[in-house]
Amino acid sequence: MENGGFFLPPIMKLRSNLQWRREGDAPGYLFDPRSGNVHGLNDTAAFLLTRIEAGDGRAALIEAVVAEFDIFPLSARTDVDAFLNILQDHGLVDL
Amino acid sequence: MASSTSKKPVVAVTGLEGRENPYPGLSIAKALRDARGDAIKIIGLAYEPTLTGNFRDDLFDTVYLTPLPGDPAATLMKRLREINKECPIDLLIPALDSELALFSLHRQELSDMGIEMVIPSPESVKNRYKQRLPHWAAERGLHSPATEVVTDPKTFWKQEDWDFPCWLKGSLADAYRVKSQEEAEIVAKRIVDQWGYPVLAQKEVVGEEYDICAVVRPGGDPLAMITIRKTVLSAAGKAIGAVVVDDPEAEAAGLKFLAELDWEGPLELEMMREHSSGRYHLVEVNARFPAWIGMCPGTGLNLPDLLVRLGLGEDLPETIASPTAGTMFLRSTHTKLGRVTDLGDLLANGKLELQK
Repeated sequence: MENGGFFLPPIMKLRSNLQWRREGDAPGYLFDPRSGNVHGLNDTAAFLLTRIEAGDGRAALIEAVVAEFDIFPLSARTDVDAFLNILQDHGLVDL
Repeated sequence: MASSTSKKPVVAVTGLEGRENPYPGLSIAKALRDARGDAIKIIGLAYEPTLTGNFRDDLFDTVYLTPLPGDPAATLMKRLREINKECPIDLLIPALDSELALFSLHRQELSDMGIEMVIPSPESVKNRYKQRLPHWAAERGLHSPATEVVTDPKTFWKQEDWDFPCWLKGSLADAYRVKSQEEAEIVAKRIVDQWGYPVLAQKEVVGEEYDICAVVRPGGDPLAMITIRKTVLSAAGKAIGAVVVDDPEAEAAGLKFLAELDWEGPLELEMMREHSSGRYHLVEVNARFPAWIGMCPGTGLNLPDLLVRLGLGEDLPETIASPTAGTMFLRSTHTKLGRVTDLGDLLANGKLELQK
């Protein structure tokens, strides 16, 4: 489990043609040209996407969330896994 | 003899209904007007005097009354000769499924009159009939949901392999999802009242619906296409909201269907991507532009204008733009004001000049 949740690879890469639209400090949204969907983001999602774009894997994301939001590692793990699952379910990452 | 003096191409378009279930004619005219402004003469062919498009002076130069689609072919051909004598037509774009078979059969005769069309052969038109499609697809290793004629709505669903929910469709238009025997009987009657027999039942494919509109060159090679994912449906299953997508899988599936259809001209493929298998099922083939085609100039790819270029033998662009993914449309209604004297002119003369 340290390298990933049950169905999560340790590293995820955002699909290359996704467009992250944002203005200023606002978290913005992801536009997926393949499905035509837009996915609204909150601050936590924007934080995680920034780290994923920088190449962070699941373990590094959990550490980053603990450090940034001052929460317990177990909560951070649950939140990060939930987020990565959402990305995977919507086909937003290359597996 | 407007066309011979002005050199403007004269393009005739059918399907001028623009009320709650709009036909494609107004959208085609809008796309052509967007592309060419006044450098084209657009003739509307209307089978009823009160179609809303008859009074759209922003789209049509002249509107002529024609016989109903179900009238004898000879009546239609006689009327087209009269119209063509008064205003020679360079290209005719049929916009109704119900008239395509007839136009396809009379293509040569119309061509002899100087009226060109870019449309498929009678055989290709028949292959895409809703009740033929599953067999046609299966023969080619493709997928299309089982579709059968409902001979008796009281007993049809007692057959072993039919169940609810499924879709009930008219042979020409409309599709309703039905969930029970009671609902099916009511909907079947409504479809018969609106469209006549037969009523068709189609098995449900659970997934997302994609439509591809393409213009296909003679020989079956697609010139350009737009893929949309339907996001809002009307009660009759029409797309009243959709978004343009850039989905290589959906496009590949569409090209596979197109390669087998032996098509020529415009068409709309309605496909379902099944959630459980990721497989694409061909649900319908509409033998014309869809009613949503009026949005295409906003995507950067104007398919009706490409069709006109193809049909008139004009130069095609060296590179054809891809439609912009993320362009969306939401249908809106438009109330057209007019004068009842215009209606009188149309009824009395069979013709209404909109650009006086």
